[in-house]
Amino acid sequence: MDKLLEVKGLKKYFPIKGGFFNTTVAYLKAVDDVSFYINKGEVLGVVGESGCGKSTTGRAILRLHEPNAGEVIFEGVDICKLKGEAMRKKRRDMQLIFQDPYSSLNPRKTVGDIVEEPILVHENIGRSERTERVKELLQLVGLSPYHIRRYPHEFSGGQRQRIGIARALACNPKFIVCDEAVSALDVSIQAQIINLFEELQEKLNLTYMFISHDLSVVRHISDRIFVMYLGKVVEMAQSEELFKSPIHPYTQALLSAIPIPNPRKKSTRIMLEGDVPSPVNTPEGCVFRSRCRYCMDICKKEIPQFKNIGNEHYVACHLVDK
Amino acid sequence: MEKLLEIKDLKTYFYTEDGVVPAVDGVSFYVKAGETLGVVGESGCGKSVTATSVLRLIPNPPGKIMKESQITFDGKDILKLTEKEMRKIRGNEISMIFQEPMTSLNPVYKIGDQISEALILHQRMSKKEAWEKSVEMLRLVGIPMPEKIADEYPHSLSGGMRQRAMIAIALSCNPKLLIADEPTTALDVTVQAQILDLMNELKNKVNASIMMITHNLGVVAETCDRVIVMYAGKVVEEGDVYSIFEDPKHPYTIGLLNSIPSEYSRGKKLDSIKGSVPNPLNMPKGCRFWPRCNKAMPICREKEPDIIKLGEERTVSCFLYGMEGDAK
Repeated sequence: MDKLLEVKGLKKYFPIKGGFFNTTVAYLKAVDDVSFYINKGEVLGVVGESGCGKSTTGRAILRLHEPNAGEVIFEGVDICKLKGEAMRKKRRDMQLIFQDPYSSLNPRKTVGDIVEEPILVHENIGRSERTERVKELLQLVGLSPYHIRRYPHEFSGGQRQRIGIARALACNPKFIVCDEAVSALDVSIQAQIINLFEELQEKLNLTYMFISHDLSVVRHISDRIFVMYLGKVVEMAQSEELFKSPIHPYTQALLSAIPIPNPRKKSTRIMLEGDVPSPVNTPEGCVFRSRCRYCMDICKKEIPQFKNIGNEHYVACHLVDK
Repeated sequence: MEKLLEIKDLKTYFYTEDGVVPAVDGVSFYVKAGETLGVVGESGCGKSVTATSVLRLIPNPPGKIMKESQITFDGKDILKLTEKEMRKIRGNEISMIFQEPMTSLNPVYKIGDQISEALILHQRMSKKEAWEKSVEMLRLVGIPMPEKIADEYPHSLSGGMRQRAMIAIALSCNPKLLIADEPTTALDVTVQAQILDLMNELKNKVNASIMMITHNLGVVAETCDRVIVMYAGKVVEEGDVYSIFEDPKHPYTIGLLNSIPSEYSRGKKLDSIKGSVPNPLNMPKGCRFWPRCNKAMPICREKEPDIIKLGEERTVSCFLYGMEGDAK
């Protein structure tokens, strides 16, 4: 399959200011040396606990956060090197859907204005054509053309998320980053939106990067999944393979913690001790070693390599070498 | 087993400028001593209002618990108690864990002081005794170095630790009933697993009943003995956890269970419930679920269904059942 997007050694450090002259005293390593790829027409799921850098990764590849280092190759072009107009043109192909449908829509604009704006910016077409296009988009996401004159507050959470999706689709993008796009919704509405994502993918031949902390949702929608912990990718594999035979101790613990909606199945949990360490002073060596059951001497010294163990299954753990 | 808490025909209405919102409209259920009752439903179905009504924490105005409602806790009629008597119950016999561990602790008091507060008020302990008990409670909920943490302020604790501290406060006076309102929603899965295990363990230790309010059906399956399902201010189904998950009766419960993605759902369309929750100012006539129901019949639009008893501790509120002969 063709790779639509390839990310190599992506880094995003946020400076922490302090001291008398407000100098940079430390760096928060939100994304630290992350590499992965997404094939055309594929859904790549990104999972991890809060603060692990999944959202920052999603934003850094769209250059909403300027990456500190690394390459983001989209359709053969390193977009980190693009400037001005060239980058602006590229943004048409890459869109983002946000988590909170309540704060991501401007309350003073009508739905028509919100969905029309990207078309206004990127495409040179007349007003009546634009309105036609907006109406088409609203129908595509399951709303009605007469909603065009309404304001966001008149809609429920699920409907607002549909507006956000219509806006993302306005310029016929190739790639969409869904950042916790269904997390704020109720279960029954969540199922509607997940179905909509899948329908749209088939219809418009989209590629998604689906970021979520809800593992059962990610499992349902993704072809491949990568697991992040403290700014690093610890494991990446085909969706089913990852759930059936997770290799990294963190993935194992994470998967065993999902509550199963079946009262007769009592899950055997692998309990993780303590909390995620602060991303400002990460442990030396393997980032997970402070909570790992199998921590060895080597884990304290060397950072494990992220390697392919066959069948496109990548793991970063010293246990694999043994 | 005896009933610790019994709620009969609870109606909590809010009188707003736009009209009357019947947030909880004729809810009846009970919690037995030592059991965990799950209260499931989507946002706006009245789960949290039911819980706050039990503690009489509904802001009045605009909220009002209607006259015909009855809440009996441990033989006492909660709605007839004076405010002074009520204060003796809150935090002492019934305590509550809130959803947001970030906002439900006071940022300017030390953790130890916040646990001590309840102990000094309800158990008449001296400051020193209360502080020692607080440290002990923190140890019980699995906080490392409890002596040191008791002397810290909430901002230096992580989300999971704060929720543990909240549980320590809630359990400090050995309550008979613990109301947990979405206790793990704001937490990550690995921390959620820790907290759920902790609650199960502590429930057996202090022999309290738990009313677990949640929208996460996985959490319900793992922790609860009995479940009530709420929709738009009403209880639509009640039963033990096995029958709810294995033999759900109400179309809403069935829809809810089918809409969770599982290991078998990949590549298939999820069964979603069409539409969204009705506007509480403008509830549909008849059964409140009919506009979204895939089995709606003409009668559903006309009349509200009665609560039909299907068996011991098993009820459903739907016209599909109870009619002799033609029930499926």
